[in-house]
Amino acid sequence: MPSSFKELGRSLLETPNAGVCYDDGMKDKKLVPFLAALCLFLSALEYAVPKPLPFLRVGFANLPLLLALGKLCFSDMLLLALLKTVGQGFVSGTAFSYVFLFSGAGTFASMLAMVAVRRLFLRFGRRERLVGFVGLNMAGALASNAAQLLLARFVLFGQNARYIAPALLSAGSASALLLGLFAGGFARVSRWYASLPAADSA
Amino acid sequence: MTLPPKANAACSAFFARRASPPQLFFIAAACFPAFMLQRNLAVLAAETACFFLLALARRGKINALSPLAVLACVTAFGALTPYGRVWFRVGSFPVTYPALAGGLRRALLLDGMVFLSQFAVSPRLTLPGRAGAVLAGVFACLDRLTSGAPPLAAKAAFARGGFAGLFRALDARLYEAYYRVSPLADKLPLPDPPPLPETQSGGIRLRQARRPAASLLLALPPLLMYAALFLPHG
Repeated sequence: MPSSFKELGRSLLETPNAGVCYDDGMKDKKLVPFLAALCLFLSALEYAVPKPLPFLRVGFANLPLLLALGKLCFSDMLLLALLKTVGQGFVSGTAFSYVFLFSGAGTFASMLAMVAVRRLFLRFGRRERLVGFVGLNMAGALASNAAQLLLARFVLFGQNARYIAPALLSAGSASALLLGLFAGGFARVSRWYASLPAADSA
Repeated sequence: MTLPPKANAACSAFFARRASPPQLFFIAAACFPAFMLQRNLAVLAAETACFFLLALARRGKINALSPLAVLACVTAFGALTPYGRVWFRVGSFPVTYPALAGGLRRALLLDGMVFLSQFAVSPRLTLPGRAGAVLAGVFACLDRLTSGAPPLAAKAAFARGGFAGLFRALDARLYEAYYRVSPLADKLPLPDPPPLPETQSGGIRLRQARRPAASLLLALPPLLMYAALFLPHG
């Protein structure tokens, strides 16, 4: 057990085998652009889904980030989140708008929360997966919604942001549960996913 | 909202001849501060409407429902905290002019920025350097995912085999797209320079320069917007 919170924080960011490394240390460099492209593809698909409110989104575009956990090292996860945000801004043409800011904040908050939760459970579970895709996605969705609500509070709605918080958080949790189940089911049967090397294998 | 085909073709030809994607990007970047600093509500509404028309001309079609929903929602949320002069009442709830105007201003800024972005930014916009190369690699992958193989018949796959069938279809598409792609990061594809057009006699002529007067026209919108900042605001 870590002796202090500082040690706990440091341990959450480090893994014994950081990086997507084969034995000779060569990184699989095409995975990050491919996953970023998959994010953009799913984001375009998401626009076709009718939404009850313009701010509520299903979160398809976060699936590649979820699947990338354990396959990419932390720096590659950061790059993937950045490519997803910038690429979405270019494809949907929202690079100059508040949408870009909200998208970036949500993506990075979600990614950091999922990485932190996964590392925490790996560290204490001694390599046994105590949290699956559902738990990780729920953590990511709550972090993303919290970041976006904070932005809405200080940038858009002021104190009135509290009125959209219940709808946003409950819809986000529901969609995170369904997407987590979907991701778990897909990862279990997918040859493509199984063929990708693990980032932190022993 | 979609432009008629003839109008769409005319607008596409205009943008192809008169302005490159980087020029449009820098013009929009120049307009951005003037738009954000505008205090006059009527001028802000006019600028938002202009950006909407420009985005429609550039893209050919725009989803008008979502911006309208954003306009209504953000304005209504702004009016939920009444302060100042009461303008009218909805039942017993007072709607005050400063609160409503503040909400409307925020809504117009939000929608205007979206339209400005849709006008200025496109996947064909290339950034310089390593960042541009990485982004080009991402779009190359996206092209691989969305073209080539027959479209993923998700509904048919789900109808045949339920979720298992859908997962198998998705997996097959991802496997084929991923392993068919050559290592991108090693040789990130930079966009090829456009070939110089040949004349009918077989020689090569220099690329025709865009008319400078037309390019100067593109500098007008930012100048007008900065001049509009000095208009009185209520």
